[in-house]
Amino acid sequence: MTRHFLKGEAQARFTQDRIDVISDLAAMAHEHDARFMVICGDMFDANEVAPQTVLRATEKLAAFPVPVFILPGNHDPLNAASVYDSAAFAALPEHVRVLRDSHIHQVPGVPGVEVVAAPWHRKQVLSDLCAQMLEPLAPVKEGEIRIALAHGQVSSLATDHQHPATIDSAVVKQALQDGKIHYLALGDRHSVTDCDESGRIWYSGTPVATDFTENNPNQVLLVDASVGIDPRAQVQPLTVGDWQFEQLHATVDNVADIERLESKLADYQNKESVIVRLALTGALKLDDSAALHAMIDAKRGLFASLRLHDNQSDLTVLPESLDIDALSLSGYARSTWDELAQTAQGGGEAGVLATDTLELFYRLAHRQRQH
Amino acid sequence: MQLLRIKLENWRAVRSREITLGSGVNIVEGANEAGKSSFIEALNVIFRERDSTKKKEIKSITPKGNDVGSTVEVELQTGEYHFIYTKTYNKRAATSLSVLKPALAQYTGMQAHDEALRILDETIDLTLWQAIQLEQGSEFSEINLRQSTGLAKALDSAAGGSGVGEDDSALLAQAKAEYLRYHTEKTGRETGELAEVRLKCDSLRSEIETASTAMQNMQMQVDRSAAIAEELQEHNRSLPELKAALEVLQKKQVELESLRERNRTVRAEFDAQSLRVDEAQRQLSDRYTVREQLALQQQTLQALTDKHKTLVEDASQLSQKHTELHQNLEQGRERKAGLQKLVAELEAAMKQQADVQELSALENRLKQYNQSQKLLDQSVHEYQQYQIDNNTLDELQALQKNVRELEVRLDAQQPELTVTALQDSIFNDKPVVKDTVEPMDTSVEFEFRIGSSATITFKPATNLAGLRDELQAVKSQLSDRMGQYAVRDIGEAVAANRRRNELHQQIKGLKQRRDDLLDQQVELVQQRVEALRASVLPAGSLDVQDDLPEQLVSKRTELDEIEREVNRHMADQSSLQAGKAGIDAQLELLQRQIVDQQQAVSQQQQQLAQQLAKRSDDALTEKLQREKLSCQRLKVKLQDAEGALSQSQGDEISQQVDNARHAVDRATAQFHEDEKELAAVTAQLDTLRAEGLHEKLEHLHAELNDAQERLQQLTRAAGAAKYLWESLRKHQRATQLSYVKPLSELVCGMGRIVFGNDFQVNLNESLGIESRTLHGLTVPFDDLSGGAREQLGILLRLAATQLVAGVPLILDDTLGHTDAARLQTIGALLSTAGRQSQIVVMTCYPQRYRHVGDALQHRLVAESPVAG
Ligand SMILES: [Mn+2]
Repeated sequence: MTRHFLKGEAQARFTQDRIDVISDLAAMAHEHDARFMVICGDMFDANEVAPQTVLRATEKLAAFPVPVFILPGNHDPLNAASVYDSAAFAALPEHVRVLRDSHIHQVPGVPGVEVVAAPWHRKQVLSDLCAQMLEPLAPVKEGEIRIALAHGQVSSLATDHQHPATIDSAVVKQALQDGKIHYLALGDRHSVTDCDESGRIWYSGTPVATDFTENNPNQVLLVDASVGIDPRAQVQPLTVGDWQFEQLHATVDNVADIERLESKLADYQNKESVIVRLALTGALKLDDSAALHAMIDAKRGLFASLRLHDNQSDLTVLPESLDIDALSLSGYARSTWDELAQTAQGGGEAGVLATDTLELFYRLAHRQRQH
Repeated sequence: MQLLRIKLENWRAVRSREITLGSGVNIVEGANEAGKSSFIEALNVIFRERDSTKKKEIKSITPKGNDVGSTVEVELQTGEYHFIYTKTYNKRAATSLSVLKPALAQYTGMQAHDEALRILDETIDLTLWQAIQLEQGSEFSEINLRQSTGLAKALDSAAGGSGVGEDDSALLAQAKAEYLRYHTEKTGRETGELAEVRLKCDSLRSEIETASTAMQNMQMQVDRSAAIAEELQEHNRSLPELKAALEVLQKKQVELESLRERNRTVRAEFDAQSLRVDEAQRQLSDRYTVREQLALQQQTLQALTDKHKTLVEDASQLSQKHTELHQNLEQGRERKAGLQKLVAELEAAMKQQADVQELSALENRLKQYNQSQKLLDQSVHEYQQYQIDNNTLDELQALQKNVRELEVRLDAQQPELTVTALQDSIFNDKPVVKDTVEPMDTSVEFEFRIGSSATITFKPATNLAGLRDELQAVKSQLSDRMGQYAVRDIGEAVAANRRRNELHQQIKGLKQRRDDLLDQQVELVQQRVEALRASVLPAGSLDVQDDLPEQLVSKRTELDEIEREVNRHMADQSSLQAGKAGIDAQLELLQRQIVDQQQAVSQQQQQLAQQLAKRSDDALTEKLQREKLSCQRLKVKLQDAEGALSQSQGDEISQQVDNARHAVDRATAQFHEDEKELAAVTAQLDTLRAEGLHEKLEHLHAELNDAQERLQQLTRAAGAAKYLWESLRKHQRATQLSYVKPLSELVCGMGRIVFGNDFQVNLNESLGIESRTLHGLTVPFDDLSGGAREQLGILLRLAATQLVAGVPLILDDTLGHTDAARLQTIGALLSTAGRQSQIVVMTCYPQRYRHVGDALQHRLVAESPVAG
């Protein structure tokens, strides 16, 4: 995943971390004695990812210590261009299995546990694949466990109830009650989400954060879905990724504000994996504005990315704050300055241009004074 | 404004020095190292630079080897103000301002700096003054002589607030450089990074477009693949159905085919029988035809025979007519011969009569002719006797004339010798009587003897003798000719000639008369007469008849009639013969036709007889009836078969079979095509997937995002740079223009003092002197002499200082180019100007200024180095 705000080294690291996380998950599976792993769709951003991305990911999967079930989602559907039909996947060993249909699969090496899935065959789907998967299922035999995998919006959370692909949570709940399945593992949301009071319908989020809009990213769920005294499944979020997407809102009107912002930035841990987007508002004197930008420029190198979010920032420079006397302007230079200053105060588009021009004027005249 | 006092301490080489200046012209004299330029520098710096400045130029003021602060103190009056302004630069920097008037006030630091500027700003045009100061700081004579834009440049620098900076660091130059970072100079197009980034954005967009298209293409292939898969499934389901339907239809078709076979057989039998009926019918009708033909042939034969009979009758009638006509013709011919004989006799008689008449006439005429001939012969005979023709006469007359002329000439030249006998004497043996006069012939030589007493010999002159000989010769010739023609003298010759000519005329007339008598040669006439005499009968044997012509005409008419009648009969006869020949030919033809027809009839009869012997008419009729019955039975059978076939809807079934077969074929072909296409799409997708379009596109988007952000920054910066540059230019131009008019007026006013009343000067926008006009002559500044340029430069500065409410003018070593005469007027000018504003002249050559009337003289003596 290419992020325009990530440059060079940070971008490479981000890309690599998203692949390396498979190894991290393997280590965690081993550590927590997990019996198998399910990936609930959108493992890849698209079917059209670069061949080396697929190669690197499959190499890690091949080394996974337990069986892995992969559900194709809307980003990597099982269509004619499917990444899962590539040579790299064809070469994978038995324990990595792409779920291509809604048949019941026994988990190898784990007797009495089976997996059923609702894979996406195209990017756009106009029906509730999950409901279709559940409908023909018979109740699970006594003492056995069945885990279902699905991908997409769930109606209990969806804002878009009308979409025909929305997973009907009522149907899922009924299936749970009917003993058709014991747990529904959901994919699509990048935030860890418990979807139902039964505690048996969960989104696992994303193992590596990818955007500013995610809640609880960098997680993986350790699930014990066995049916015991507790009707709820035992679900334990584990932190895995360490990338942080931060949107920082602040008002900066003076030096103190700038200093406050600076210390806030200083507080971040692992700055090399932190992506900061500054949404700043305020009116600054020219010198202070220069100081703010200088501070940001100075800190930038520490972070994976540190930038001012133009769309959400509203910083103005006060033209009247420019110390004209310090420039000893005279004659027509002075009258030019006065005219620009007047236009700047008039505001609007012309005002912005005039302010820019005054800043430039100041910079040139100032440089000359220093000369 | 007036400078009262300037004091320097530790200023470059100056340790401590003070000049007190008076109003009017001050001439400060000093060697080069005496520190004149330090005073000028200090005046520039104190009003411009803060004490805190870190500029290199200021740093360099520090005295060498003595790291102490440098101090300048200026006391001056301006407007209502009088103050002392002190600044120390570099070490122990400080500023102080002591205002003495109008009210006492004391300032230090920035306040002092600001207040000093404020006072100046209030009392003078600070910008212009600073510009003038800058210019004074520069080496006036050098710059101003090289280019006449010093003041404008100084104004630019003063406006930028820059010190004695270098040109390329001046504000305007920097603004321009900034503008040129983003725009081209000539057209103002975008350039540099701005243009590059914009180009990059465009190219990225196009790359994204390409990649997106590829992605879309890929998606289309995916969709197509899914569609094909569905189609294949559909085919798998529908193909067996189509095949089963085809089989059912094919079975039906086989049944139909056997029905058709039966139908074909019956129809063939029916068709064969129909042919047999036709054959029987044909045979019967052939028989009837033969019979009809025979009857027709017999009829024709009868008609031919009838016609033959008629024609034979016609031929005999014609023969009779022919005989009658022949008789008539013979009679006509006899009559004609009789008449022809009679006419010939009449004609002969008429000829005889005519010949007799002609003979008598001819004989008469011949007689007359002979008479004429006789006359003519007589005349000719006489004519031949007169031989002197006109030419001969002319010749004789010429000879006669010649004789006369010679005689005259001889007569005129011959001496006269007369012998007169005085007594009777004998001369030449002849006696001579007294008083006898004897003329002597002097034409010949002779001897004259007078008795025996004397012999006188006379010899004529020799020429006279020649003449006499010639005369003799001519006379003898004439007489010969006369003798020849038998005339005695010329008169007879003339008469003979006249007679000859008369006879010639007469002969001519006679000949004419003779020839008129006969119209042809006389021999021919004589022959004709002989012939007529032979043919004419002796007179009296002929009975002369007067009505002969009338008889002849009547008989000829009669003969013509007879001839016409005979011709008519001959024509009738030939037409009768032609008619007869036609009928004979017809008869012959008919004869042949009749023979042919008789032969044909007999052949036809023979043929009919043969056929009848084979099969009778009744037998033929009976056979036909039999065949017809059989055919009727087969027709019923055929109708049955056709009915069965039409009920089976044969055509539709065959179409249905075809249709079903096509459907199966098409579905199969489609199936194979789909399989092929699916394989192709899959292969294509494998290729496309290997391109990693997703990451490529993401990467491009990221790059575009970056480029667009950068473009936005650059566009904004470029806008500001452009706006700044244009604003500065606009104001610069306005300022320059505002100074042009007052300055040029002042320069002209002062110039008239130096150069005279018609002095004019032209300033350009850059406040440089463009040209000078003197005595009506305009000269560009650059073409003026060094002295004139220098003087104009001083004038310009004087004017500038006066424009700034009389600020002091500081001149640093000028008038090096000015000659003695001008030095005087310049001196006067400075003197006059000095009444308006203070003038400080720094110079090593005070003698140049000795013409300045009221001048204070100062002398700067080099300081002795002081230790410490
Ligand atoms: Mn998704």
